[in-house]
Amino acid sequence: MKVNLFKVVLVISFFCFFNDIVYSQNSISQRVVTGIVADETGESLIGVTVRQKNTNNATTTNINGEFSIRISLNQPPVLVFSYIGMDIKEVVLNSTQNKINVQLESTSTALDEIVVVGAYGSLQKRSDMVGSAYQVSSKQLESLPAGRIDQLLDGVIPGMQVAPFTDDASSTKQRITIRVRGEGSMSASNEPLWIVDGTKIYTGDRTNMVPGVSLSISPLTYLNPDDIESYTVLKDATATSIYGSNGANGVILITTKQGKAGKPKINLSVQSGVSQINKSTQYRVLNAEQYLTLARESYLNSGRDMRYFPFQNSDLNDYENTNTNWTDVFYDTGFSNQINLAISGGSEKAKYYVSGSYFNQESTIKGNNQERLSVRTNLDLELTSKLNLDVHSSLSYNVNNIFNPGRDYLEFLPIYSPINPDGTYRLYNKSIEGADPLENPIWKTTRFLNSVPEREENDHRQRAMAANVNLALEYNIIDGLNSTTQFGIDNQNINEDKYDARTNWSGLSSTEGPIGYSQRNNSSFILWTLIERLNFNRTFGNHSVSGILGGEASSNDRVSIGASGSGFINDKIKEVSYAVDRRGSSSRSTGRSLSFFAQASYSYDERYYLTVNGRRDGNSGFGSDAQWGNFGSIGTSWNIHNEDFFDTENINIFKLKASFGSNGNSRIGSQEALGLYSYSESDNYMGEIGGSMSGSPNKGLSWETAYITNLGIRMKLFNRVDIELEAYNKKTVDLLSNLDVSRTTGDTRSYRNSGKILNQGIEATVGLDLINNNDFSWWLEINAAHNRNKLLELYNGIEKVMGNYIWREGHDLNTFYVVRWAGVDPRDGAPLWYDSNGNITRSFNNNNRVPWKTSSPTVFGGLRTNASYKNLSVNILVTYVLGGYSFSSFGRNVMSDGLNIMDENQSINQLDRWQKPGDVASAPKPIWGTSTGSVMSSTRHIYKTTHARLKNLSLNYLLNADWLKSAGIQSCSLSLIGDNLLLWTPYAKKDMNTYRQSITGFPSETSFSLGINLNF
Amino acid sequence: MTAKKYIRLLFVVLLINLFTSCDKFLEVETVGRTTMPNFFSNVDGLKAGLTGTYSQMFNYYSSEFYKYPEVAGNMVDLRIISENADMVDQFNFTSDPEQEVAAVGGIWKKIYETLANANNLLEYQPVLLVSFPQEKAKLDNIRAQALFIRALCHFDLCRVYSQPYNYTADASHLGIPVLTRTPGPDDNPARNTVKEVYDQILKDLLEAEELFGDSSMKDAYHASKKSTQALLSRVYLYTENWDKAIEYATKVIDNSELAYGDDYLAMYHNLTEGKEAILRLNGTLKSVSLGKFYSPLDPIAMPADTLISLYDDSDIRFQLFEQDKNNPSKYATSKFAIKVDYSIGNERYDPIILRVSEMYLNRAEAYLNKNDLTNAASDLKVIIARAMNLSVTDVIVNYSNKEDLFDLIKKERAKEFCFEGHNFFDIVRQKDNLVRGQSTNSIVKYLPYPNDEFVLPISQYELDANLNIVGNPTVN
Repeated sequence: MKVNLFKVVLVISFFCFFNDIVYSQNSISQRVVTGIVADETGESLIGVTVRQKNTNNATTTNINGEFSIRISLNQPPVLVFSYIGMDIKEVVLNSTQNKINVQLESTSTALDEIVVVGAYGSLQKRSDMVGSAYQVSSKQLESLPAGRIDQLLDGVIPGMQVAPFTDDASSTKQRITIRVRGEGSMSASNEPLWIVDGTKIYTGDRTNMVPGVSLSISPLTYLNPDDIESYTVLKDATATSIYGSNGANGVILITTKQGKAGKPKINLSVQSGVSQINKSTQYRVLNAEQYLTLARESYLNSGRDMRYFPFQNSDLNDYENTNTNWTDVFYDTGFSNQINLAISGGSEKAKYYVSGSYFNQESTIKGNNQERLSVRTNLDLELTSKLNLDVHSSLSYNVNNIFNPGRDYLEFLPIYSPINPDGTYRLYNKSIEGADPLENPIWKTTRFLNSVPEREENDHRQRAMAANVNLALEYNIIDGLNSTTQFGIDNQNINEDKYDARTNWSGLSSTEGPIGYSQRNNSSFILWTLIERLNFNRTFGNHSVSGILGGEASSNDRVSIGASGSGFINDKIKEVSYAVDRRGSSSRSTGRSLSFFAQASYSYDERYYLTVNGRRDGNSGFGSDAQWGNFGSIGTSWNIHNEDFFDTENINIFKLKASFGSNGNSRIGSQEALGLYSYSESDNYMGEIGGSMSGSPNKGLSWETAYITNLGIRMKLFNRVDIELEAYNKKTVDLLSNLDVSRTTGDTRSYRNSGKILNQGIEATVGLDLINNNDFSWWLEINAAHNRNKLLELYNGIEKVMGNYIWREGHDLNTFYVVRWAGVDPRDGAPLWYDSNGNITRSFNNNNRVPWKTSSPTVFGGLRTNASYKNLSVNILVTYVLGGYSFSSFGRNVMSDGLNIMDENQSINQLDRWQKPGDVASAPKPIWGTSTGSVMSSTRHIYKTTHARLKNLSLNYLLNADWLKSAGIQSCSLSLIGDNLLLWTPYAKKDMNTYRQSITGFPSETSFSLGINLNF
Repeated sequence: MTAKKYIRLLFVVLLINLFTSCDKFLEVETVGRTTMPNFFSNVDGLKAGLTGTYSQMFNYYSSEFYKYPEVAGNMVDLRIISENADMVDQFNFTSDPEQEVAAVGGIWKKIYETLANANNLLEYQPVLLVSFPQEKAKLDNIRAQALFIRALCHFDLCRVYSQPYNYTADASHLGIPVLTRTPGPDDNPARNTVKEVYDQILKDLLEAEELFGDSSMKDAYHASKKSTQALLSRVYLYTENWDKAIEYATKVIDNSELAYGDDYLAMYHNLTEGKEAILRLNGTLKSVSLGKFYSPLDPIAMPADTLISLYDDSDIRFQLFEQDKNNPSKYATSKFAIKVDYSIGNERYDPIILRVSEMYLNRAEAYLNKNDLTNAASDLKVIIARAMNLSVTDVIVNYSNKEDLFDLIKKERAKEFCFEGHNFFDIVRQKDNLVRGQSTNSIVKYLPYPNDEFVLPISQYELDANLNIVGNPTVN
């Protein structure tokens, strides 16, 4: 009885307990099941949907992965567990089982269920995609150099080409051009639009130039790559037309990291590296001995008297015994260090991600370094059950010290020493310049514009404060319908200090003596965006409907102030206020846009998808008659693999998609449409200053519009091979270009909408899951893109020569326009060219220029692979370019065949020169100071650009020791990283400079670093 | 709940703000950028624009436009006739439409530049008149000057690129595009008939005359009521409206005096505007191209023997020539030579557009065509008397018929206005053949009227950029 009583009490108390939870429900037809959901590693999963099959009984797991669900007894006791990135799992309960622990497994192909970030708060599973978008998580790029995020994406995104802005040694902080699916514009920007957490950021003007400072440093270097969760590149019309007037060049969406509910996670990573120039990419010039041989030969060839050969020893120069390797003078070992500390976590109602980071890099080009201090705070707050507030903000302080040796490292003569015997910097050289009437040599002392003291004594520093704040207030109106107000500010404030010291030629005047020259520039950019949008997302049975409706206002303001002065008493003062001569300048610009956009999507049964987009854009930069423009697109896709009739085991995904639509490009200067007046002395009349029209107005100036058709097919076979093919046709019309106009406008050229460009291309991505078992896994992804660019129509067919290029109908926009080089005449060593008819000629004439090859590559792309065995993993990134040609403006001067030899050292290619009749040589007979035209732009200076680069190789080892756990360290990984390890070019020759040595004007840097990553 | 309501209200306010202030939002105030609306936002801006327009007008008067009627006529030889020498193609009538920088494209471009600037003034002047009614007098004066410049631009373009007004009976032949506002890049205006061009010229000049009101001539470096009337006299002469030509010449003559003796020479040599100048352009801090072209020290263009042979030794105008030291039979003009002290940087050459002497000869020609030979002769005598330093009554003009007298007037025009941009235009409008002296070094010695060669081709750049423009027959 005692026992029975106990049992009764127990049963009663159980019922009481049960009643407590299930309040006043009829407990007869229901029971409660509880449990915990975890992933393969045992880590509990938060937010897993748990549902009784075919019922509305559902719940989600809490912070600890626990759930509790009431299930109906009149339905089968089957629970369905679903979670993004995990396989759906069904569990059948037996009649008494009320407690269950479930382990979910990652979807075998993680790529499949990747949630792709889209425009204006939209999220889609990759298999639901209609448009063309490629997403890469930063995890996959984490071993790449942290200097700048645009370079990270090189070779990773299919169809996106990352290339240096110029091949010349014009800047050590070189601008990078990014082309998504070819060049669709002549004079407006060809750069994609960058968006961070939903709002635009300022990345420079139409060629990434930063106005108001003397040197452009890409604002993309101000972002810390470690704070970024993913990069998404939108390419086709359905994906981009919602960005309207700025979407034509593609859109890059950056999503920063967010905290997840749970205990605080602390991540600390430290990485340090050393770098060296890759000697094989270093442009090779003559050493002193080779130089003097060639110089003497050239001198003799010019018929001069060797008694007056300029470089004979004097009190100032010991030419015979000097052999300076200027590359060694200008280059050294570089270093880089990075420390990142990130803390994330939170509760269901408040999540946080906070990070602090320090990065510094000492370039291999002496005198150049970059320093970045950045802080990010991302908060996601649930204010009420209906109201969410996201605050994402970052602040970064960047210091760049700049010194550009330009071409000095190749062009300075090896017979000059950088330093005088007394240890001071060399500022003068002494040489012979002809003879006097008595046949005595005339000695001349000339200035030596030695840039080494400029590096050591001058200052050139930029300090930039970049702030990016994003506020989003989301209100849940009804289930599935949210209203979001988003406000983003991107602010950059750049301070530039330049001082040219009195002790070298940059601040030393030959007539006025030491003066010193100081420059102070400040440029500040504020780009703010206000977005108000409604997002709708509902599923009714098999029908899924979603939509976006919103408006966006944006303003981009720039203010630049500059002051300069010269005439300083000493080099300690430096500030303009104390200069004798002072000048000031200021300028500003404002551009505004206003847009309305809408998107509607419908899908049926995960089989048929349809998306329609529309956008109306207004832009202050355009003429009053054409300030507004409309853009739209429609896209559809079909998941054949979800059809009942399609029942092939080995094809897991078979998807077709198609889209068509328009978007625009508005990025030229501001106010071009209004007409410009200049007010200057050149417009004076009777000495009185006047104004005249410097740019004629075009009230009809408007967007250029790109019409993009995209077709795609995706197949996944054997759960291992994932192939995606996309073909596109992108026709840009009403091109914004600065072209010839009727002189009756009072102008000769004007910005106008005219002309058509066609870009057609194919992109392929192949993902291979080669091996995937517990200990060993290996995946590989290769992408390749081919783009064909064709200028369809120019204004009235008027072609335009742009330096070494020509815009001509029917040709690629990057078609060379040069004289064809025909080699060297073996009889007398004269240079030969082809005339426009293809006949050999001995004289250079610009009229013999013909449209030649193009600088656009045939195929480009990259290969990424990851192999891991137990705790060890290897990552490799290779990029490649096939086809295409490049003009080396950089190498041209140092292939002058005697013309410039007295002032500039020459390429080692010059050694293969004509010396006697019958010689078959690549360089003509060198003649001192004499132009035979051989240095002029011709195909002689054009190289094939085919190359492959081992961009990154990293080895990671995960330490899993118990002592770490006891020290509170969850995980610890060590990595060894190599960047830019190898460069392969098929046409490289030993002892010859080719494309390999003249890619960017500076040799490439190879670096090795060691990293440690700790999770607490 | 109140918080929620507040937030909802905030959304609504934001939305309303966003959707209603669309157009204002895009109107960016462009501080620091001299967009046209900014530049012309006050009267000083318009004044600066007028100054700039004069500067542009100087640019076209001091270059190819002013040289063309001389080298294409029969009174000037080029000393250098190598390929690419200045104006050699116009001298030899080998003008190539591809010639963009020099005369063919240069005249077209420079005058249309000036015209665009004048039109911009005329477009913004009414706007300013509304905002600044108290400045009406100043604004009307600016408008009158701009109208004058617009008329002169049309007139000059038409003289270079179109056959003369009397080429067809109703002047229905090809003129040049008439522009009363600056066209946009896609407007591509077509050529009007010569009649339409002259109608616009007259309309602008008559409006200018009225707007100038009773204002007197401030200086000869700006358009004035007098310059408007003087130009009207010339335009009417070109259109063979003899009565009006007489009327307007008389209006000017009645208010003006001729320059005599040293005053006459000072007009060319002394860096002064000159007593009889009605309109000339001031070259302070400007191109010295005319000075170089005619420089007595090293002339590019020099008087042809046909011109020198017209002068009597005692003619004051003969003092405007200098003998070549190396070749005494050759002369150079000193109309563009400074004979007073000047410092480097102060030298200037002010092309003359209108002066009082022309009014006498215009009126003489008009009287002649009205068969009033007596009046024609008496106007001619005034000019001869001044030249020969005689009193008018002492001058004898011998002629037996109208043709004789016309010939004398033509010779007088050649002697009086050589190097001042008249010669070739006079030959063409008077329907004469071009007859050059045997000693000329041009490959062209004779061209009969009418002739397609009497106009310049339209530049190929213009034809390529603007498909609505048709070229001139033969030369294009």
